[in-house]
This record gives sequence, structure tokens and C-alpha cells, in this order.
Amino acid sequence: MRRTELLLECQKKALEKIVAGENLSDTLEILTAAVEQSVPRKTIATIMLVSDDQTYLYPAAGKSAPRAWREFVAKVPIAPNVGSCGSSAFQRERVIASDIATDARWKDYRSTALGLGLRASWSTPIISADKTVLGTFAVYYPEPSAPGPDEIKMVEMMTRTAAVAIQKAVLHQALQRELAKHRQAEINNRRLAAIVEGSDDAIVAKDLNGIVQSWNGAAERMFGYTADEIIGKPITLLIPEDRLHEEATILAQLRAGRRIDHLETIRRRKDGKLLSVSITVSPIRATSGEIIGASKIARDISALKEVEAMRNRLAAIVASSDDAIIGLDLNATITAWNRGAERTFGYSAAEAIGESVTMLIPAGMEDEEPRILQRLLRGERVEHYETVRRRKDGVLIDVSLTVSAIHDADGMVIGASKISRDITETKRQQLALKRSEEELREMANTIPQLAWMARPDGYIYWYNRRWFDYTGTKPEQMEGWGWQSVHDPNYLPSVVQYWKHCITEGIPFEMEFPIRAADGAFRWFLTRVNPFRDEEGQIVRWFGTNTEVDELRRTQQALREETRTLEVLNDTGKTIASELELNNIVQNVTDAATKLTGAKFGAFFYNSIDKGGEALMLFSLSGAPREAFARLGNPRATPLFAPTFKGEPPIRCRDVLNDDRYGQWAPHFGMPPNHLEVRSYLAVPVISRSGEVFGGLFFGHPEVGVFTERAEKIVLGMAAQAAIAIDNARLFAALREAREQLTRHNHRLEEEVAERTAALRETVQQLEAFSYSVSHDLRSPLRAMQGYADALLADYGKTFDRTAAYYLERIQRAAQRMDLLIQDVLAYSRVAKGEIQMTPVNVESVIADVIQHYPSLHAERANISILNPIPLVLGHEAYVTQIVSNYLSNAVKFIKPGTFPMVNVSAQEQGEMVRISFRDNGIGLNAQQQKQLFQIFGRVYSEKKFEGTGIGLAIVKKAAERMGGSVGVVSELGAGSEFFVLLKKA
Amino acid sequence: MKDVAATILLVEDNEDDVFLMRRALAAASIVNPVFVAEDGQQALNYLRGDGQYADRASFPLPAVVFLDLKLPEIRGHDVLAWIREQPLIQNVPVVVLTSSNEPRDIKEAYRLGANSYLVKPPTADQLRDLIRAFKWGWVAYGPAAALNPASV
Repeated sequence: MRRTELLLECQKKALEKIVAGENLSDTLEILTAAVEQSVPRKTIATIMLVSDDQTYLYPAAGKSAPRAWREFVAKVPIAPNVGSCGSSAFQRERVIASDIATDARWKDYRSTALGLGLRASWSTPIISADKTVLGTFAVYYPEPSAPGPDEIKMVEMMTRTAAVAIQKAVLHQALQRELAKHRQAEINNRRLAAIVEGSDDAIVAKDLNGIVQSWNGAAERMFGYTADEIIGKPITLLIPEDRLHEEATILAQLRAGRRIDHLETIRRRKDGKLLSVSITVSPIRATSGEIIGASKIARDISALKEVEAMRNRLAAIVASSDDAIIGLDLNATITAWNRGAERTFGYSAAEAIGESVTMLIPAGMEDEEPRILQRLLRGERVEHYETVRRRKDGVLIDVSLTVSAIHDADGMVIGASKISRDITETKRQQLALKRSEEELREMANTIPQLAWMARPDGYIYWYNRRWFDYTGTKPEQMEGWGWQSVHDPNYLPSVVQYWKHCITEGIPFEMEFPIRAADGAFRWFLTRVNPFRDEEGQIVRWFGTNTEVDELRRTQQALREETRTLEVLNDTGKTIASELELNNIVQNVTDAATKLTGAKFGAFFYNSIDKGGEALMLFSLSGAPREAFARLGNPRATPLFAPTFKGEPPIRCRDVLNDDRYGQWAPHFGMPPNHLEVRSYLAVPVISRSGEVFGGLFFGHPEVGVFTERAEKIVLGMAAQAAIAIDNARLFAALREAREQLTRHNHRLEEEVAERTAALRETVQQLEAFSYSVSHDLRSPLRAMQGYADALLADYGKTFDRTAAYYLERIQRAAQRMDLLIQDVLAYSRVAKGEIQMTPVNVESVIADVIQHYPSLHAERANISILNPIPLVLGHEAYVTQIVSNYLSNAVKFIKPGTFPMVNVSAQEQGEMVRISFRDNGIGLNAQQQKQLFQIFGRVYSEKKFEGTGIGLAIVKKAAERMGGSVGVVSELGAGSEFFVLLKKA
Repeated sequence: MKDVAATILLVEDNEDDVFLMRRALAAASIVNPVFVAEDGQQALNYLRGDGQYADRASFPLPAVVFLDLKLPEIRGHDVLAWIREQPLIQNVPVVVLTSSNEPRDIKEAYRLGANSYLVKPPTADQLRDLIRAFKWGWVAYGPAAALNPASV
């Protein structure tokens, strides 16, 4: 997606540059850069152009190519097997060289290409609309590779744009050349006009009725009339009454195609003064050859002195004239030969004088000279006679001859003066001028733009064919300012204003505005008008073009709209994705969708169903006050509304009033009174992931046909986003509720724990107080009992009989046992709640200590052996001692009388723990006994049989547990027992 | 006063324990006079020579104090702490009488500055061990006297 946008953007940029007439290479570089940026791998894109003579290619774009590349491809022949580009331009089709190292087409260029790091290359010909190859678009890779279909497509797209750019540039160049030629022609015309204007002779043009058509400055000076006064008036104004017949003769001569040379006569000035003038009158012919008027040159010859002076001047002029001036006698022998003649014909005066003039006349034209002489003899003058003459070197030249008779004093013709001007160059120029004007028009007719030319005052006198084709108008409709009729009235005033401003200021005009096509539709054009100036800087003409930019504009506008839509969608998406309040989400979506669809108002209705049926709840509204809906109550499940709330596809009505689903239900049969005016209608359901219909988005507009398919799609997309957001918001609300519940619950638990902890602490304190009193207060009277019993026995024992002594002994034994019990209970409570420090403990040495401490465990009374080394354990030494002493003393205590106690201690590692077992040969335990063995006071034998408090194993169990271990017993009645403890390994 | 043997101060509120102590002393042939203070206050009064105890001829400072920690009113702990602060008597040996041989109780006695401890009821052997250990030269031995409750 992004890549396409980039390409479109580049293409757009390139098109803009093309339209703006910018440098071709710059434009093409944009296209190559676009390809390089869009291809995900290292790529070098280049463009080559076809030379003017169509024989070779030269580089035009390829900024990222190595520096030496341009030299390498400076002149690539268009021929088979010339790399990728030369081949593709020759074959007019795409050439792919996926490995230059092996590709046959690269045979002759391989080493240079590989040296530049170019390993693969493919080239696409750039072909114009008229099938001319304009150049090639080549892509290089540093590794052997072929282009993917995407790349090919991309390059084709760029190639088309390149073709447009190149064609435009070529046309532009041609146009510039033609305009330059045309301008030169214009200058020549003006020069002639200037000559006419600057002449000292009165030069006047008149039509065949003798009406004055033009009037130069000399005429004004000579006759006293200004051009304004006399143009359009009869020439007879200047002729004295007695000579009016002359004019009739002159006109008759002219109609016959003859000219009147040097007619010496009298003319009258405006102030009535008469002048002697010499008049030469020539017919003016239309291109068709028809005579349409006459040019008249009048010279004031009234002052003889002046004539004399002029004669002298003429002599000098003759000498220095560039024109060849030749004197002839009646035998056509050259009698005079000026320097101009020397230059024109190549003969020196010495060579020419005395020779026949026929040496200048090309073969086949020999009779021309005698005819001219015949005319002279008849008294005619031959002026500006264009013919061909031969120079000394044999080259034929075009000349313009003016031949005059030379009279002697008696008026006899004695020879001819012949002025011969070399007009070879002038003729060529005239021809070129005419051709260039035609070419310019022809050219302007072939360019795709509309084009036209205007006079300096803005009056348009010529349009190209494209103009008439496009506008469907006729030249007479368009001439001058007629073009205004094909303009959009909305833009016309500003166009005219700006155009007039540019004419006044003499500055180029550039503007975009619509022009109506023949089909009546307006399309946008970029209009450029440039002034053309003569050497003095005067504007001689305006040249204008209208380039259609309608599609570009529409593309740009569509792009802008699309961008705006995307922005709104994006913003809305962002907002609602981060929004967890249902109301805000729905409001955001409604607002954005109303904006994007162009709706007058939009609403979201929540799909809530009450017991009675479907009731719809207004949730948010955009473009209208809430009251506008509130007073109408909720929309009902009419045939129009219901599908949306059932989650059926969107409903889009051009005109809801014409929809079959509309107006089906009583009582309103349509919109209730006071309802917002709706003609265009669009409704889209909002459906959750689970398929639940949350509600619907409804849009309305009082005009018909407002909602497009695109609007529907946008709303559909937004509805999906909204659904997700609503889902999220609901989840969030549920989560929040759950969290709050959890917090409340936790709070309650904490309170409970605190209460219980307090209660427990109290209990523990009470227990501590209890055990303190047990250990101190309870034992106090016991000690007294024992003390007094001892005293009694010591002091009076001898006087007691056997019964008394037995009773005393029982008292002592009971007290002793009581003391033992108390001490064990205390030991248990110490183990249960005392502080412990876990350190590595050597169980073997604990066993040794215990054996030493208890006489019943000594070797003479029991056989205790350690079968294998016991690893160090992690424990509290005092507790370990408790366990060992309890196990060992139990093992030797609970035994059949007469059996020698044997205890085997062994250890076994079990993961992180060590299992230490004490196996005895005692009386063993049944299942029931094993169960209660480790409980406090859980003794299983009567005290009579075996001494003990019944607390020892409870202490063992508690001690093991406090150290993170456990205890157990494996036993069979009569087969001995195995007591074990699991303790952590150190 | 030379002839008068050094006094033993026994601080004990339980008359049974007083009896058993006296009996142990007798069994060990110790004949030094024993003054029994029945609570902490009386012990302080005696040691300070307050009131009737000002007469040091009749109520001399003791050579040793046997001190029960569990006393009404002023506790044995306070009495011990107080003794250790008095320049005149701070070096008098104090033997604490405990109800149990629990490590906690024994540790506590030493912590407070006791010189030794005896688990009640003390026996003649224990007393003799003490005398040997501390090399008490002031102990006066005599014929073991028969004790009866009336003589206490």
C-alpha cells in the first residue's frame, strides 16, 4: 500500500514537473528514484534516451549509478546484442539479463559492467503513443537476479510516465525552435515597415478605386495631411483639377498590371501649394495574383538645387552602393561597372567594361536582355525585375533588376542603367519565413494542448485545431474575445481581469481554470501565455497554450479527500481504541461518521430489548439537538429499522420516501410529525465479535441521494471499529467490577486475617503464659512434695513399716512422673515455637553424643551400628539431637524382655533430602499404632509395660517439620520397626 | 563481731522453698546465719539498711545473696539490677534460684548479672559444688542441725 502511494506520489511529482516544463533529466530522476525506493533490495534504476538520429542511446537519468556508468553508456548503439538497453531499444521489447557474467548480449560489454559492480540488468523500452522508441528504462542489480512481477509492473508504470515526459520535452524543443524562426520573420517584416516609414519618399498605398490605404511619414511631410486625415479618402485630393485625367490613366494602367515609373507631374499640398513630384506607381497583387491596389512613390523634385545635390549624392551612392550598378549602351555593351557590380558578379571593372552584358546571363535566357532593352526603348522602366544571373565563377544568383533608360539631352535613349541586387539570400529568407510560419501553425496543430496566438492587445487571431475540436466552436465565434463563451462564468471575471493585467504589464500569464468542452462539460486546464518581443522589446504577439490538468486535479482532489477520510478514520480509531467509556466511544463514532458521510445528522441507537418487545435507546446524536429525537420516543422495530437491529446488512436509501420498507406501520405510516427531515437514509448495524448486535448507526439528510457506496463502506468499517471498542469497554467495565469485588474481598480477608492474627497472637501469648506457669508454678508445689517426701524418708524412714514406706515411694514416683510429663510438654512447646538456626549438622557425631549421654544405649546394653556414612544435614542441632535421642531410646526400650537390643542406622539420599532410618529388632507396631504414634500423648503401650510420657515422638515429628523435613515409620507387629527422618541435605 | 559468721541473704517468698534451702544448707553443714527476705522490697530495705535494718551489727551486709526471680511486688530482676548499681555491694555474689533448668531461664539469670544459679530445690551437693567453685572462705561449718518446720 505504502509503496503504491510512494509511486503515485512520484508519478504525480513527475507529472507536475512535466506540466511546469522543467528540465527533463530532473523529471526522469524522480522516476528512477521512485523505483529504487520502492524495490526492497539494492537497485540502480536508469533512463537512456534515443539520439536525434535514432542510432544510439545516451544516459539521461540514473543518479545512483556509479560515476563511471555515464561514460560507459555515453553512446550505446541501438542494435542486437548491445547489453540490455541497446538490445531492448532495438527489439522494442523488454530484455532481462539476469546474470551479466553469462548473458550473450553482454559479451562485448561484460568486463566493464562487472567492474562497475553491475551483475544483472533488465531494460524496458520507452515507447511513445505513436510507437516510436524514445529511450529505455534500465534496472541494475549487484547480484545475479531477475525482476519480480511487481518490479516489472512498477517499471512499466514509470516507463509510461517517462514517455509522456520525453515526448513533452521533444515537442517543447521543437516549439521553441519554430517560435524563434517565426520571431525572426516578424522582425524582417517590421524592418520593411520601418524602411517604408523611414523613407524620404512619400509612399502611399491605394486601392483600385483610388482610395488611400496607407500613408507614411514622408507623405505626411510632403503633402501636409496626416495619415488619419487621408486614409480612406480618395487620392484625388492631392491632384490639381487640371490633372485629374492623369489618375484615370494611372488606374487604367494599374488594372492592366502595369506600373508607372517616374511620372513627373504636379500635386497639391493640403495648404494648396503645388509641388513638382516624380511618381512611380506599382500594382499590388494578392497572393492569387489579382491586382488589388497600388503602391505609389512620390518624390518631391521641385527644387533643382536639391536635384543637383541629389545627383551628386547619387553618384557617391552609385560608387559605394552594395547594389551592382551597370551602364550599358544600346548594343548591350557594358560601359560602367561599380564596386557593387564587382562584388556581385566577381568581374572587376576592367574585365567587365567593354564586354557584352550577356556574359552575365545564364544559358537559355539570352533573349531576356534584348527584351529589356526593347522595353527601355519604348520608354518603359524595368524595376525590381527578379531573375537569375551568372557570376564569374559560374554560380547562378537571384537578382532583382531595375533598369532605366539613359537619355541624351534630346531625350534619345542612348543606353541603360541597370541596378542589380543580389537577392539570393533575401529570397531564401522569405521562403524560410513562409515555411516557418506554416510549420509553426502546423506544429501548434499537432501538439496535444490547445494553442492560440494573440495580437499585442490581446486580440486572438488564431487558434489551433485542437482548440476547435475540444470546444466544438468555429473560428468566427472565437476570434478576438469570443473565447469567453467557453469559460465557466464563475471563473471568467478573474481570468479576464488577470489576462488584461498581464497584457498591460507585458508579463507571462499562468492560471488554471475550466474550459467547456464540446459536450458541455467543463475540464480544468493550465493556461500559459508568453509574450514574444522584437529587438526593441516591443511585444509583437502572445502565444498561449491550454494544457488539460483535469485528471491531475481530480486525482489530487480525490487524494486529498481520501487523506482526510483516512485521517478522520485514523483519529477516530485511535480515540475509540483508547477510550473505555461507552458513551464517549459511541459519541466519537457518531460524530466522525456523520462528518465523513456528509450526513446532516447521525445517531447511534442502543439495542436494548425490554420485556414488552424491542425498545431502542438513543445513545448519541450528531448534527442535531438531543431533544430532536427525545420528544419522538424511541424508534420502533418497523420494517425499515428492524433489519439493522437484527444485524442485517446496511440499508442505504437514495430517497427513503420511495423505499418499500418505509411507511408500513401505524399510526404514523412514516415519520412521526416533527421528525427531522430525512430523504437520504443510511443505517449500519454495530455487531460484536460474538455476533451480538449492540445497536445501529443511523444517518439522515434532507436531500436525496447524499450517501454514496463509499460512505456506506466507511461507516461499515467504523461500525466494526466501534464494535471492537464497545466490546473492549464492556470487558473493561466487567474487569473493573471484578477488580473492585476482588479488592473488597481482599479487604475483608485482610481484616479477617488481622482479626485472626490478633486472636492467634493472644492465644500464643496465653499459651506462653500457660507454659510459663506450667514450668514454674506447676512445678513449684511438685518440688515441695518431692522435698518433703525426701525429708520424711530421710528423717523418719527408719520408723516406717513396709506399707508406709511403700505409700511414700508411690508418692515420690508419682511426683517424679509428673515432673517428667511437665518437662516433656515444655520440650514440645519449645520445639513447636522456639527459634531455630539452620546449620550443617553432623548426624553421626550427634548419635555418638546421644549414646554417650544415655546409659541404656551403651554398648553393654545395646548394639547400635551405623551402616553407611551419613551426609551432613541442614538443621537445628538441638532438634536433631531430640530426634536421634528419642528414636534411639525408643528403639532399645520397646523390646521383648530377654532380647538384646540391636539398632542399625543408615542413610540414603533422596534428591534434596537425606533419609536417615533407625531399624530395630523391637516388638514392632500394627497399622493402627503406626497411625497414632506421632500424635501428642499418642502412646500405644500402657505405661505399666513401657515407661514414657507419650510426647517424645510428637516432639520428633514437630522438630523434623520445623526443619523442613518429615518423619515416618515402617513396621510390622513382632518384626521390628524402622523409624526414619527426612532432613535437608547440607 | 569477728566471731559472728558472715550472713547469707535468702530472698524467697515461698516458705516451702525456704524450708528446703535451709534443709540443704543444714545437710551441707553450713551454719552461717541466714536472713530471709520474703519479698523484693524487704530485700532492698535490708541491703540499704533502712529502718530497723540500720543496725548493721544485727543486720550485717550479706556475704552472698540467694535470689528468687519470681517475687511479688518488686521482682527479683529489679533487685539484682539494683545491687549491681550499688558501689558498696555491687560485687557481692548473687546466686539466682530458678524454677526450671530451661535454657531460657538460665540465660536470663546470667544476663542480669548473676554469678551462678541453682535449680530449685537445691541439694547439699549443689551447695558444696558452689562453695568449691567460688572458694568461699566465709562459710562456717558446724554439726548438722536437725531442721523442723517450727525452727524456720
